[in-house]
Amino acid sequence: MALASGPARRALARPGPLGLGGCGIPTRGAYEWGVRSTRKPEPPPLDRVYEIPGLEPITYAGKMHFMPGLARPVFPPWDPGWTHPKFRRPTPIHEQPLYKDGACYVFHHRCRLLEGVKQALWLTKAKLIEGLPKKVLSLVDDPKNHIENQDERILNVIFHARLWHSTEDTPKRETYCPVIVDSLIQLCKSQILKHPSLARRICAKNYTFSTTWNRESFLLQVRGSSGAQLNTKDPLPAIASKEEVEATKNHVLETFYPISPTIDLQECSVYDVKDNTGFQEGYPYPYPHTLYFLETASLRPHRLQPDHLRAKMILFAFGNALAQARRLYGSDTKVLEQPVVVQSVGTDGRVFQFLVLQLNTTDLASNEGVKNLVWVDSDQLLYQHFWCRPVIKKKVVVEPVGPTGFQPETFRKFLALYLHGAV
Amino acid sequence: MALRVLTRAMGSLSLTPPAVAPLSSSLLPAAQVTSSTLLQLPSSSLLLLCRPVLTSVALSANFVSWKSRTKYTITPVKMRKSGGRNHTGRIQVHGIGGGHKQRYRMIDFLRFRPELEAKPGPFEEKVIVVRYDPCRSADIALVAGGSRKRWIIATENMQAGDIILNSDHIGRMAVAAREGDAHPLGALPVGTLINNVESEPGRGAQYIRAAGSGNVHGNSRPGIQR
Repeated sequence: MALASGPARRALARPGPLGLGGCGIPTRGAYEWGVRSTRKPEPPPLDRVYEIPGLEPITYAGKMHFMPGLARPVFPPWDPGWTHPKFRRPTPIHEQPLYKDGACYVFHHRCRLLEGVKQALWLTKAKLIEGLPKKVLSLVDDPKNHIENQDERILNVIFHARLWHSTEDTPKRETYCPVIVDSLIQLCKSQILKHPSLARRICAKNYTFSTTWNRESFLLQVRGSSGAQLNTKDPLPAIASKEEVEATKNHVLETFYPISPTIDLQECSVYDVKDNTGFQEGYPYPYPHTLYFLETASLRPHRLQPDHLRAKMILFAFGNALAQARRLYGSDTKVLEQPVVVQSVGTDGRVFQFLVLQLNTTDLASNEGVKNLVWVDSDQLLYQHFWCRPVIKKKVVVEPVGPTGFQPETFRKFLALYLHGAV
Repeated sequence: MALRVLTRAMGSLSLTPPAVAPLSSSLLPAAQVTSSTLLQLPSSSLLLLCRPVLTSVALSANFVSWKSRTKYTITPVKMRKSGGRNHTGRIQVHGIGGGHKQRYRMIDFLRFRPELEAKPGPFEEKVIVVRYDPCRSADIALVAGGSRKRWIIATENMQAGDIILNSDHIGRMAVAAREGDAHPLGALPVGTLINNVESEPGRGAQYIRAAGSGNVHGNSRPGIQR
């Protein structure tokens, strides 16, 4: 034993690496992230004297210098009595006024759900129907609703947004995406002469809203702040009839075991449960009509994928509808006699996603019963590509400046969603 | 006072010290100093009176490891290449260096690591995507289970959408092992191909991690760990 030194002596002393000493506990744990110099150093352990209850340890605090044999004194943390505004520390989480024991899972505009639309449907207890509802499609095909020179005016809008309104050769997505959406809404507004009830609408930007609901032992919250919102003085009528709503009772929501439905949601312990529609009580345009989501980031990893964008649209529309329903009918959970309908349009300047959500029930805690309905029309291209500079091969113009693969159908759907409720 | 010593030493080292004349006159009053001599060599007594001063110092190696992140994350982390240099800054291993810039993806080598709020016991995870890892020869797979995602080493035929089982349970019968599952060695039948082996339960995989590697489970003695 005396001849062994260092690791050899430690090996002889402990039963560890030669077999399993600690009955299931490894001698060395799994890799811990972070170099030791960057990890926070542990505070030195308290003297053993402090473990004896009722005993007052004799420390060298009074002597003002270290004395071997006396215990190390433990001082209370120093409170200077004032705080500099630049160096104010936030109060610890447990002492914050809104701290609650149960965790809340918050969805905000930067969340990307792993399972996308499936997870959003489970969280909102909704059933998905591909394609827009028949009522809205009838507005699409009706020639009375078309604007004169519609195709020409849309092409002008595309040219203006993608080429003309900026002095750069190729405007970036941050510039052309909001310009396209604003111009398309302006085109839709030109129908005010034909349908005067379109004047009872207002467009709001930089809105915020929040709602909380329980979903099978999870407390979920949506905090929205994105894009533009169209508000009206009259609510949208219900789309699905009572029979269709009753028929959703048989629909079973898709689960995605082994993934939990709260994956990719931000978990927080400091939250406020009250609902907020984003507008005060006496606001003249109280009913939300359409939400517009713009993906303006120019780098592809910063933009949401179409699946994530549709999930975000579902959750935000649902949050708005739920806040509205709670404001109109109270916060107790029940099946609504007059369902709340909210529409939503999401785009990145070229590809459009259309969504109509009908909130049938606020009883979201259980998985049975009436479900909410969601109609989704995904990946509608307005144009395939836009050439800002002409493609010239061997002194011949192969592709002229302008959009390729233009589909007027997409704008007709956009217009139909805008006119829905006023026609 | 140290500054005075230093300036005196510096002064004594130069060839034309104009200040030396009054100094030497004060120190050696008996010597006759002729004025305006350009090259006045410093007398040996002056050199003896000054302490030696080092005018050069070795550079210290400012090596800080790039591994500063303490919390696990699935986003790629920027890393710095070593080039074969150790903490002193000198080459310890030759032949390393250059190559494309890489970002490190934190791999979880301890397969059986249940979530903090999860029930103890075997659990399943789903493979989301299998992708190339620039830092190793093997591919890596993003798996999600419960409400957490992590990277693990992907086995040969792992594809997106597979469900894999992580277990620490040893039953009386050997488990019919599927590819991608993690079991203690005692639960696996003799002859299964294994990889990502840990020497003790809870240590984390340290052996058989490279691409193309796989060992045959040959031990059939009872009394193996766990």
